[in-house]
Amino acid sequence: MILFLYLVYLLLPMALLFLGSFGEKWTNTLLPQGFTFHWYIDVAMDPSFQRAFFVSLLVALLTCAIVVLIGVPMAYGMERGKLKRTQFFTRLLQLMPIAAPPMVVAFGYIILFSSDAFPYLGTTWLLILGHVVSTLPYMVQTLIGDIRHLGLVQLEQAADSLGASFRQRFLHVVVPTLRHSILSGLFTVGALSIGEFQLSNLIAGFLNRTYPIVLLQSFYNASGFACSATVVLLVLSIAASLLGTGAPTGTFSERKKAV
Amino acid sequence: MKISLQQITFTYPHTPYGVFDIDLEIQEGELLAVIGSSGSGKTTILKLIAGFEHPQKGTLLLGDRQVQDLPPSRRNLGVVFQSYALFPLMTTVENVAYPLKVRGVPKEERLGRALEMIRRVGLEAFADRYPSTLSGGQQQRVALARALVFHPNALLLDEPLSALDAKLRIEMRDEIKNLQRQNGITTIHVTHDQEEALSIADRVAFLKDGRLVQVDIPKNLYDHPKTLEVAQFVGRSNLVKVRVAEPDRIETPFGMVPCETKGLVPGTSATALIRPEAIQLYTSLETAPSQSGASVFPCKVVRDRFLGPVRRLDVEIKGFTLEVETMWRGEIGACMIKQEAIRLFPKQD
Repeated sequence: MILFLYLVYLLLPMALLFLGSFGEKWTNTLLPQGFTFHWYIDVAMDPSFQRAFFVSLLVALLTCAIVVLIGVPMAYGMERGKLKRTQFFTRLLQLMPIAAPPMVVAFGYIILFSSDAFPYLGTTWLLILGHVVSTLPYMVQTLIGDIRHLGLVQLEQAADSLGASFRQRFLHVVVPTLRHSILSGLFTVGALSIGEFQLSNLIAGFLNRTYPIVLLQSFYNASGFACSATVVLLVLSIAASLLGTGAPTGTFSERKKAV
Repeated sequence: MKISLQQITFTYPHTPYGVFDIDLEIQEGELLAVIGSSGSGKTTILKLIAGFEHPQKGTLLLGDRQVQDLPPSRRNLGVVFQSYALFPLMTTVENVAYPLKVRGVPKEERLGRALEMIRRVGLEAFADRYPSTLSGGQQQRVALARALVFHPNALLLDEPLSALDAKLRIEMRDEIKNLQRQNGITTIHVTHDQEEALSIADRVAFLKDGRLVQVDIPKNLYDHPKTLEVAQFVGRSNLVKVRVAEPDRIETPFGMVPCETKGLVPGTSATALIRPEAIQLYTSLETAPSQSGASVFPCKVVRDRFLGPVRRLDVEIKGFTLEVETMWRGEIGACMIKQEAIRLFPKQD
C-alpha cells in the first residue's frame, strides 16, 4: 500500500509532463487541452537545445571514458591492497557524494579556476572534470562490490601462481571478469552525467551549457515546450539507467543458469 | 624439489597473528600435511611458500635457491585453492592450458599437453565445458590438472577437499595421493581434517598459534603426541585428570591403573590420554582375562552409538564416563585398561 502510494507520488509528475508535452494548451486547467506534436518539433529545431543536447552527450561520453580509465585500476588497487589506509579512502569515496554536495565542489572550482593561474572556468574540460569527480564513486562502488562477489583477488592470485605477469593477469583475468560490472557502472555514470544540474549550472560557460540547464530556462516559456524538452531528458536518462540495471551483474554461473 | 623454511617469521600488519620461527624441511617427492585449528597459521605458511605473503624474517629455499623475495609468478609452484579459483570465462581446456599460454608455449602444443593432463584426471568428456557447469569434484580435478600441467617445482594444496561432500572427499583424497605419487612431486597439503592428513601424508606438521608443535609421521603423531593439544586434535581421546600414586601406578577418578610414569614424583598431577579404541570390553568381570600391567573394572553402558563398523560407547566406571570404540556387538559389563593404552602429560604450570 505504502509502495503503491509512493509509486503514484513518484510517477504522477512524470505522467503529467508526458501529457503536457502533447497538449495544445495548458492554462488554469487540471489537464492540458488538445493534442499536438509541435512542441517536440520546436524543441528539436531550437538552436540552444540542439547545442545543449550535443554538449550533454559529449560530456557524458567523455566522462564515461575517463571514469573507466581511472575507476577500474582504482577499484582493483583498493581491493587488492587491503590496508588500513586504503580502507579509509574507500570509506571517504563512499561518503563523498553525500558529504560534499556538488554545489560545494562547484564553488571551489569557481574560486580556483577563475584565478589568473588557472583560467579554465566555463570550459568543457572543466565541466567534464566535475562530472568525473561526482560520478567516479558510483563506478568504483559497483566495481568493488563485484570484485568481492566474484572472488577476483583469488582468481588473480591463481593466475599469479600459474606464472602470469601483472599485465597478463590484468588483461586475461581482471578486465574480462569485470566486463559486465564495467558496463553496468558506465550506464549509471552516463545517466548521472546526463541529468547532472547543480554542478553544471554553476561552472558551465554560456556556449557549453548542458541540457538540464537550458531546460530550466525553457520553463519561463510555454509549458508544452518545457514539458516535451523534459520528456526528452527523462527518456535519455531512464534509458541509460535501465540499461545499467538490466546489464547482468551476477556471477558468470548465475548468468549461465539464467540462459 | 626440496622446500626448506628456515626461521621464517611473519605477522599480519597491525595484528599479533602470524607464524613464528618456522623451521621445516619438505623432502623431494614428499607429501607433508599441515594441520591445526583455524587461525593456527597453516594457510599462512602456504601463502608464504606460494609468495602471496612475504616473511619479515627468515629464509625460504626452493631446492638451493632463495625465493622469499620473489613474486608468485617466478616461483613455479602449482597452487590449488579451497575455492579452486578456476577462471570462469575459460573452458576446462583453456583453464588447464593457461599456465602454458603465459609461458609462451605455442597453441597446438599447449592444447595437446592440457588435454593429456585432463585425460589423466579423467575429464576428457568435459574439456569444452565452463567451470560453472562442472560439479565440485570435477572443478577440483580441473584445478589439480591446471596446477600440475606446467611441471611445477612443488604442489601446494589449500584445504582442497573441504568443499566436497564426505564420500567424494575420501575418493579425491586417494586421487590426490595417486597423482602426487605418479608425478613424484613435493606436496604441501593444508587441511583442518586430521583424518585426511593422517591417511595421505608421509609426514604431518601440527601448528598451534603460529608455531610448529610436532612434525612427525602420522603413526607417531597419533600414538606419541608431544603435547595434549596434538593428542586432542588428532583422533578422539579421553583426557582424565590423574595423580601419580607410586612409580608406574596412577590414581584415576575410577581407581588405580598401571601406567608408565617415567620418573614423575609421586603426588604429581597429570592428564592421562586414553584412546577410545585402546580400552577393551568384556561381557562381565568373570570373562575378562587377568593380566599383569592391566586393570579391569566393572562398567555400564550409558550411551551406545552404532556407526556401522564400530560402536562408539560412553561407559560409566564408578560414576566416571569414558568414550570407548569397539567392534564387539554383544553385551558389555567390564572393561580393561592396559598400561600401554595410557599416555601421561604432566601438568604444565
